[in-house]
Parts: sequence; structure tokens; C-alpha cells
Amino acid sequence: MLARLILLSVMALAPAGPYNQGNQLYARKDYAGAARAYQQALKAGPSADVCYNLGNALFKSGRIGPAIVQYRRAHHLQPRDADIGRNLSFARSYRVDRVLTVPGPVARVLDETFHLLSRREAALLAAVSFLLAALSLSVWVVRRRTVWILGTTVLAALSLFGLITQWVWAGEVGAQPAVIVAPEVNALSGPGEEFKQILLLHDGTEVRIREKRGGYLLVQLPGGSGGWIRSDAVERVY
Amino acid sequence: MTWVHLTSDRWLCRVDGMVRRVLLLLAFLVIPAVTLSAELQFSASVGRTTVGLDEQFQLDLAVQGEDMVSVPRPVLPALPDFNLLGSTSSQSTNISFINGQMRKQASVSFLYVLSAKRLGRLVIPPCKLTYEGREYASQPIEITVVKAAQGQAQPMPARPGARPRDANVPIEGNLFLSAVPARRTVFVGEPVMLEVSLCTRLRITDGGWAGMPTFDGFWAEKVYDASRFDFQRRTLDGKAYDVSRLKTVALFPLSPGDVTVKPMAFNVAVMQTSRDFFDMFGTTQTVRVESKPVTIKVLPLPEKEKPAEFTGGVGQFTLSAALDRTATTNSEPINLTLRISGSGNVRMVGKPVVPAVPGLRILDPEIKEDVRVGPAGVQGTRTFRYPIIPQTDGKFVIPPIRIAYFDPRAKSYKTLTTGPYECSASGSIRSAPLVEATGLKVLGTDINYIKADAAELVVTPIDPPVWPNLLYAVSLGLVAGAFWYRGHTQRLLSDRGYARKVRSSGLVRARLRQAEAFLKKKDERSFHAALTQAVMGYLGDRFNIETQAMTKEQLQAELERLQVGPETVAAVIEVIEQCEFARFSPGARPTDDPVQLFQKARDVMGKV
Repeated sequence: MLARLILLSVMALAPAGPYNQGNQLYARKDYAGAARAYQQALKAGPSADVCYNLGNALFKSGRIGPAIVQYRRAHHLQPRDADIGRNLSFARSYRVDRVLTVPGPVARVLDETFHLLSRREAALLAAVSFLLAALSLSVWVVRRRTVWILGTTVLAALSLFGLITQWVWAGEVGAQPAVIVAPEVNALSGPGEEFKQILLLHDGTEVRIREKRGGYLLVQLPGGSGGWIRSDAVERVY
Repeated sequence: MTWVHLTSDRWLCRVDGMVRRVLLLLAFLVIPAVTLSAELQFSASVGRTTVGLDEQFQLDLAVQGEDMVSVPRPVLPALPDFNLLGSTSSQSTNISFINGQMRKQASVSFLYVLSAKRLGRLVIPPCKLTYEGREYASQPIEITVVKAAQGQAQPMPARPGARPRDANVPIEGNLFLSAVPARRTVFVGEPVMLEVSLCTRLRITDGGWAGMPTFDGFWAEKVYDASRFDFQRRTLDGKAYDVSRLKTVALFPLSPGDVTVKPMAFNVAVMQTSRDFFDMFGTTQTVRVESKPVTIKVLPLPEKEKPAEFTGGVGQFTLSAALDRTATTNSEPINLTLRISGSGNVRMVGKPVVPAVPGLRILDPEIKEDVRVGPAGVQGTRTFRYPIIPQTDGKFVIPPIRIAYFDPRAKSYKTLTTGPYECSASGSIRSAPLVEATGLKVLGTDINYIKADAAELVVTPIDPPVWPNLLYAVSLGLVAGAFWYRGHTQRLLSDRGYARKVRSSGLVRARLRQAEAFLKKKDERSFHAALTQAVMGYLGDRFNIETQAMTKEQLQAELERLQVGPETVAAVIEVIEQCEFARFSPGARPTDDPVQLFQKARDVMGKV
């Protein structure tokens, strides 16, 4: 009961009717119907399970780009879920464009370390352990016992970890990631159909949105190259 | 054979004999050195650079390199001036271990049989080979096509003791080339000896092959090649001939059917004695003699009862095998050597199948041959050295190895068996269990299945909650409070004035409460005493001065020194005066009633 109250203080609950209905449709291989039901369920608010199942339904319908969007949202909410990570990389392997830069081993370890906690978990951990560290420091100030300064150090390190994780997530959200959802789209040298075509992008390619002008977005690929594409050809992750 | 290597130049073919031989030697020295490098070597060579019209010659395309996986067949250029009569290929591998690293040297020869269509200088354009995305091209080769098939056969000098024959014997019937096979019916792969002899009743001064004999449809092993005539008297069909054996070859038929050895041509210089008495030496005449075609019936090997272990051997063989050691550490290879010895088509015996052993990696064998060709036939040994690399630790048993061959004498297949062999390995680098052995098969991949149904959905907004930020402010306040408290307690201990000041308010409140209690009990005397004490004590604590022993004048002076406002000082003095008046003048009423005085004292203390 107490655990449930604490849980409710950091997250909300919503009725699961449309979600369960989507699961039934998915089991019957009606992937389009399941996707509609999951989208209905998402109106109550983002949920990792719903995003993941919706990603599956979209992937099974052959829509790799929107599936990657949903998997990334699910990953943002529950980064330690193995199913989500596996299906995200599986969907990525089905893309036409292979422009991703492969990260080095150090970068990969850092990336995994600072994606252990979700953004919410990191925010809570950082704040609570900061408070406890302050409490411990206060006791030390009054009592001057070594054990309290040790406690302060540990709690401060924990808080720092939470803060960095939060900062990493904030950086990812701030980068405005988006995914190409059109089967094939031309990236142009300027915001308009009359500009020169410079890149051909396909469903599922992950980009960053740098600028918006009219109905066009300037998108950038991980390698640095990019161009202007119609805003309906991409879907923002966050 | 003239090698035309990639590195050598086209003019190599044209320089005269001596220089050519030197260059040839250099080319042979260069080739192995180049082959050691990791690159693929692709070279073309021809059997002869001068050929007769319609005469067959060989084009050999050799590919050599390390770790070649599978070599595609080279692409021959368009050859409008040549007929392509046939092609074959042969492969050899050489495996060596240097510093624990395996080097696999392989070479593949693609042999093409060509014949020229027209006279003159013809060029075979570069042949091309594509391997792992790289294109290799051989050097173009120039061929001189001449009318008569003179070839490059060495002239054969007559032996000084060659007996002069009777003069003016007609050539017809008295000079011929005989090609006699030892047998006319053989099995595929069974050797047949072919003896080529020159039979003559004339006086021969010189002779030489008109073109090298070719044996299409056979694998030919040279048994004997005459370097000079060695005539021996023999009687053939009732006539005495001088017979000189020119050549003996062992022919191994490659495919069943009637196979014909084409006529071979030999040029002979015949001395004709002149009828003229004065012509002492006579005249020489060059005569071309050709052998009759020899047809050999080649029987196929019986398909019935053909064992699975048959690898192409025909003859009589024995099998022996040995491991070079029975124990190994650190995945060092063990060599299994299989030796197949005997007489027959030793060179055509294929590699025996070594059964797969879980935990052992058996590599392709390195093959060596030691073949002796003599009048008795072809005998020798073919050695297969299999490097075996342990993948895991433990004891292994290599099951018996079988090889079958066809014995043409017994007209049946025979199977040879050797082994089993035991060996053990320790300290293998990769001791992980073999995945293949467990039979785990990946049939396909798919996304993981959806999450299960739920009673309620947990909804978490994408943006993090804001309220934890409040905790940071709380924390900072907490630490600030702790530092203040620490400073306060330290000062209480070290600063007496501060301690009195901190304590004063509590004491004053207690004394005022005491005074108030006396007032309620109408004990005016005690009330005034308590009120005086409260005011004096408060002033003492407030300004850290000893007030108890002070007179009212001293107090006034002290307060003025401490720069307290004159009105406040006056009020203080008034309260004290009234109290003293009430205490020390019994029966006299103070100007103010006790309640007013109490209020006044309180106000005064508040002002100070």
C-alpha cells in the first residue's frame, strides 16, 4: 500500500482498456488495428509498454521509421528493458540507409552507464540523494564524526551520477531527434522544392532537426551532412 | 619451356638462344621470390613459341598465391587465329607453419590446348583473371607459326658406329617409325607403355623429332628419351632391320572409349650412295617418317561395387599412416601423414577422406609425390600431410581411415584401412564448447513479442517532474542552518557576553513572570524588588555589565557611556526610583500604581 502510494507520487495510472484490446488484435495479426488501439491508449499519456507494443505493430506493418520513433520513446521511459533495446536495434538493421557512425568502446561504455536510469529516475535519485547528502553534511557540521563526511561523499557521488544522467538525457531531447517516416525523401539544399537535391533519405533514418522554415525542416545526419526536407516526412521522437 | 612472366618483357621471346637461357634462369629465380609475397601471381606461358600450322601446343595459365579461397577460371581473350582444342586444370597446395601461423600456398594451373590457324607471327593477347575485386592480366605472348612442323626438337646425331647400309635401297618399306603399345585394352587410369622406335634398312646420318609428340587423352609420363641412335639388329616380318628405340612413355588414359595416339613425325637424314664412282660420299636426303595411329581401347571402371572411399587410384597400392606426435599443447598442430605407395597412377590418387572428429579441425592436406618411372612401370608414393588443430582439450580418437583403389589385375576394387589413432590436447586456446556440435540452429530472426496485458497502465510524462528541484533549496537551507547552529554553540562556549545576551531574554521573562505573580498576590514589596531585579538583570545581561552592586547614579553613568538614548535612560532611572521609593518608604504610595509601573518597566526593556 505504502509502496503504491510512493509510486503514485511519481507516476500516474490510466485505464488499460485500449491497450489490452490492441494486444488482442496484435495476437490475431491485425497489426493496423492494433496500432490504432495503442495510439488510442497513448492519449492517456506516454507509457513504455504501449510505445513498445505500438512499435511492434508498426514494424509488422512495414513502417520502420514510425516503429523506431516508438521504440526510442519506450527506451527513454524504460532504458533497462531488454526487449525494447533489442527490437530497436532489430528495426534499425532493416533500414535502407546505413550512415551511422560506430561509437568507440569507451563511448559505448559511457553511453550504457548513463542510460542505466531513465530521466525521471535520474531526477529523483539526484534530488533525494542531494537532500540526504545535505542532511549528512549538516550532522557532520554539528557533530564532527568522520562517518558523516563519508556518507556525504557517497551520497554526493550518487547525486552527481543522477545529475549527469539527467544532463545526458536532456542533451538527447534537446538535440531534437527525429526519424524519417516517408519511404523515400529528397533532402534539398534549401527550404523549397526548387532547390537542388543533395541527399536521398529512406524510411527509418535518424536525424536531428536543426531549423524549421515554413513547411520545411533542416535535418542533419549523424555524420554531419544534411539538408531540407518536407516536415511531414519526419516524425519527432520527443 | 619458355616462361613469360608478368615482370618479364615481351622481347624475351625474340632474343637469341644464349641470352634467352640466361634470362630464363633469372625468371625462374625471380618467380619463387615474388610468389612469397601476399599478392596473387598470374602468369601465362606456352610450351613452344615456334609451332607448325595446325600443330597442337599448350598454353599454361598459372595462378599462385597465399590463402586462395577459390580461384575463378581465367578469361581467355578472343583468339581468332587459334583453335581452342581443350582445357584442363590442376591444383596443388603447400601448407607450412611459421611461428605458429599457418601459411597456405596454393597454385592452380589452367592448361589450354591450342593450334594455330594461319602462318606468321601471331599474338596471344593478355588473359585476364578477377580475384577478390582485383584484376590481373598476363603478358601477351608472340607465337611464330611456320609451315613445316619443325618444332624445337633437338637434332639427333647418328652414332659414329652406325652401320652403312647398302646403297640405293629404296626408302619405301625400308624406313618407318613404329609405335607399339604394350597392351591395347586397359582400364581408365591404368598405364600402358608405348614404345616408339625407328626401324631402318638404310644408312642414317642424322635425325630429329618433327615436332614434339603429343598424347591427347592421356596423362603421359616419360620413361625413356633417346639422345642418340642406338641401332640393334632385329628381324621384323622376315626382314632384318636396324631398330633404335627413340622414346618410351607410360600413358594413363583419362577417359573411357577408343583413344587414338596421333601419328608422330620424325625427320631422318638418309645417306644415299651415288652411282657415280667418283662421288665418294654420296648425298644425304631428309625423309619425314610418321608412325601409324595407335588406337587403345580404354575400359571404364566398373560403377557397380564402387566404394565410397575410391579416390581415383588404379594399380596396386599400400597405405600407411602416422601421427607425428600423440600429445599437443596450446593448439599446436599435430600432423597426420598418410602415405599411399605402389605402382599405378600414383599421381592421380586423390586425397583420402579423414572422418570429422568433434573438437579437432582437420585442414586440407599438403600433398607430395615421389614417382619413379622405369621400364617396369610407374611406381611411387603420394604423401598427404593433414595438419590437425585441436579446438578443445581432451583425448581424441581419429577413426580408421579408408581408401579404395581399383586393381586392374584382379578387375575389382580393394579397400585399404589404417588406424584408429589416438591423440590428446591440453591448453587449447579456444576451450569453448563447439556450438556446431550441440546442434543449435538459428532458423530466422524476428522482433521480440509484445508486452502482456495490464490491469492499469503506468503513465510517465516524457518531461521529468519539477518538485525534486525544491529538495535542492531545502538541502541548501539545511546546510546553512547547520553552520549557523555550529557557530552559535561555539560562541556560547567561548563568548560570555554573547552567552549572557542569549540567556537574558529567558531570565528577564522569568523575573517579569515572578513580579507579575507577586502583583497578583498583592505583595507589593516583593513585586517591586522583583521588578528592580528584572530591569537591572536585563540591563546587565544586555550590555554585559555588573549591575547588581551599582547605585542608580553609577547605572545612569554607565548607560550614558554605552550611548543609550537619554529618554530611555531617564525612563529606566524613573522605574528604578519608583521601585526603590515603594520599597524603602513604607506607607508611601508611588506615583504610579503597580500595574502601570509593570507596563512601564516592560516598555523600557523593549526600548533598550
